[in-house]
Amino acid sequence: MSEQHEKIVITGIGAISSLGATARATFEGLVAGRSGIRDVPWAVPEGMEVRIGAFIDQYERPALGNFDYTNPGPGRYSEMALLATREALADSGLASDQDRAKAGYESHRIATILGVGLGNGEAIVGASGKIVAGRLDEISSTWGDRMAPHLATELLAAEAGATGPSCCVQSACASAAHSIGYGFDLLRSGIVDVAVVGGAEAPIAPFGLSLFERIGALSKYVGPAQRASRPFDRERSGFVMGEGAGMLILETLSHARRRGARIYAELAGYGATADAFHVTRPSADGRGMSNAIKRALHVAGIDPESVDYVNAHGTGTEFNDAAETNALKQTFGDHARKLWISSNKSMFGHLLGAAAAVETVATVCTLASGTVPPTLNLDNPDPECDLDYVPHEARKKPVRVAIKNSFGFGGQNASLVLRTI
Amino acid sequence: MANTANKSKAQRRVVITGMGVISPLGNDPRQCFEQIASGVSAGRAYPEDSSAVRGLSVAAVVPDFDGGAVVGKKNIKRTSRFLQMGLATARSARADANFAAAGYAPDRVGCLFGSSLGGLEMVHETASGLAASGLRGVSPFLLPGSLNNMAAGMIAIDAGVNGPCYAVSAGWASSMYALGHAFEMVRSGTADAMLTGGSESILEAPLATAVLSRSGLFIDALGMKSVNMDMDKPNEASRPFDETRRGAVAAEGAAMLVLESFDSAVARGATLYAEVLGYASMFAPTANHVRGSWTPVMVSCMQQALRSANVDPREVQYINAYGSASPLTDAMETSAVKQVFGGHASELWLSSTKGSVGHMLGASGAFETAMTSLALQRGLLPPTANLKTRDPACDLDYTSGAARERRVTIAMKNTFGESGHCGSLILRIAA
Repeated sequence: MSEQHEKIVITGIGAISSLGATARATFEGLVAGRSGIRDVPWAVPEGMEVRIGAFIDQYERPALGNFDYTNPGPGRYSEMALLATREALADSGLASDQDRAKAGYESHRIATILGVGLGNGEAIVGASGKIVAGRLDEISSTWGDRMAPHLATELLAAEAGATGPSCCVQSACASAAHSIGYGFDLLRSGIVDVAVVGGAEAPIAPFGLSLFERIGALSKYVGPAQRASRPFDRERSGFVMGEGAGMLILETLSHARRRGARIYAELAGYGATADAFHVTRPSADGRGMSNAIKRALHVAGIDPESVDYVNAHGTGTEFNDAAETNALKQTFGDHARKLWISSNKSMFGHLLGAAAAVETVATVCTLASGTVPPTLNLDNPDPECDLDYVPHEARKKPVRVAIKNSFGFGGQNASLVLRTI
Repeated sequence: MANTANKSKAQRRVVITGMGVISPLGNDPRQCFEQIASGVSAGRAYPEDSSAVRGLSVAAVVPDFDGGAVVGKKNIKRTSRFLQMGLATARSARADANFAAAGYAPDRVGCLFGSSLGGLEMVHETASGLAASGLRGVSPFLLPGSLNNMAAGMIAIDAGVNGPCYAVSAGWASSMYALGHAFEMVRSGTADAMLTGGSESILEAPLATAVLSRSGLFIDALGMKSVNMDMDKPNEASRPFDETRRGAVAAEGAAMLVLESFDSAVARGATLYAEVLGYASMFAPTANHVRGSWTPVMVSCMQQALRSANVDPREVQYINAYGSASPLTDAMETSAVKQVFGGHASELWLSSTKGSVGHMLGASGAFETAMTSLALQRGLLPPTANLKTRDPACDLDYTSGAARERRVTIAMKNTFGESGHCGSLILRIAA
């Protein structure tokens, strides 16, 4: 079915993570096998056990143009989204109105779609706390706009000079994959010419961490922080929270060529499915996950045997990694053993709604460089996880086709297929 | 500009075959429509001194909804009201469409769900818990019980469907965005059927009522007094397009629809409410800051929707307006309609159902689409309740007074959320 459609390509990338303030720095950190996970830089309040996260020490807070975002501010996740968007737009040569006009892109044909899991949750619970404490007067008239998850997209759309479709897509840990997929759909059906897509999240604060600790999702590893995220390892016990943002610029191949853009890779396919099984656990057989991968391959018109690399969801939770391994075996059969598979979360943690965005940026870099980042801390493979997860050290080989998997809490799955051009 | 050639791709026709609503005027779509058509309004006093709700003087609440009957007694406190309402309306919509008998492959049916702010009342309880017992007050049910996407996930579990599933958040246009995106999925063949719509129920969250009352978009006691509104008649407070309008009446509610391809719906003998011909969404990123400047985006949104539907502006007979009763937005919407339709604008029938049910926030787009579909099916155009004297800046025919019996072939549904999120849908009578 792919031949009827225009090819969709990625022409710009941007990222900020605990490994670096740019897409390049983040990928270099991954390839070097560096961990961004450390003890949190604040005193851990009573009532929580978790003490680690893959946090960003400091970042240059972006100027917000004409926007008055003083009380309260736009939130860490919005600022990170904006930084990654600026990087991606500049990378694709579409940073200014003049650039976009020269490329023939009109504002209403540019979409801005952002994956967000929690958004400004920390600020919202803080504001609720003010009300509980009777400090209603501290809630200013601008609060309504600050609470909604689409706050960040407002900044993005202004930055991209865009008035096309703009919203937040929410599927918990898979949000950014669905956001990228929505952009893919909008381009394929000819509704827009450019899609600025990705995700942002900044949940490393007491409330955000507690939310996930309560449901038993976080790593209980005792030992050095850098070793706590252990996807596919026998001693994995949950994920480590990360933060950051990733953004990508999507456009059609023909238009990208016409304007002489650098083309990183083709976004060849997208598949989304629901487990319809359990609110917090994946179906153990990995059926919903497998169907997402199959659907994405079908849309791309690519045989499973052509896939070289899988950038795994690989959270490091007991359930996910076993179910994902089952899903890969179901999808690829014998070819599953030939796949190189790795989890970026072993190094920059789980960025929730932004995870798939930064991981797709990394996968784009893998296609461009032929370098597959490793899965860190995979010391003792779980017998249930018996595929090649590229443990410890990066490897090189030409990667022509890669899969990015993303599976949200609530059984909301999305897979993307990327291919070299 | 670059991709107009893509229009030629094979596209499937899409129809609405089922609906479920929960609203301030009841939970049966047809009865709800009849009430709106009769000009009834649901606004109620919302006393400022209530311990649960502060800031809003008037609101349109859902009088009759038992969350326990939907999620089970055990789970009432473990799930947010918006989620319970979403689940309930999805069930009603499936039953209405006789969906179980349709025989769709589960992986060809998805769920897209729209909500702006999700389960804020659970966040408030958490804040109380935090104040009382620190982080130990964070409930393990908060995450699964309050996030927007959990509504989509639970609806999929309940319905046993395995297609695309997630939540869309776009301010007051959230459910319109979800619905429009679901339409695109069925039209392009990504899915054979979709459960879509949304819900919003935040009036029990003090933070929500505080920010709504301070946003300047919703009417409060001061606004009512400023135009000598009778404080004992809160049901007259929502006055779209009226010269004395002073803001929207905040409401809660939910609406879910079943969308299917026309061919398979007809083949299985489904009841067709309306056909969805086209859709477009746009965003005015400076809406919060330079409010007067986003009329061009509304114009562009309507034009793109007409193009998506391949409909000439002169074919449109009825517009179910956004009509929030915000002084600025109603005037801008009027101006935008005139720009899109030119001389034909004065021949259009418009109405805003927000005069009757208030502003269901993120759920409004899907709810009003359901009501517009019923208007087409019934051949009855509901009036704009409480519209007595048109604002000079709002000089179109908004159907004041009684409903009109008109057989309308093509209608437009607009959602122009004040966050700048715009969505326009084109509907055709299914006959």
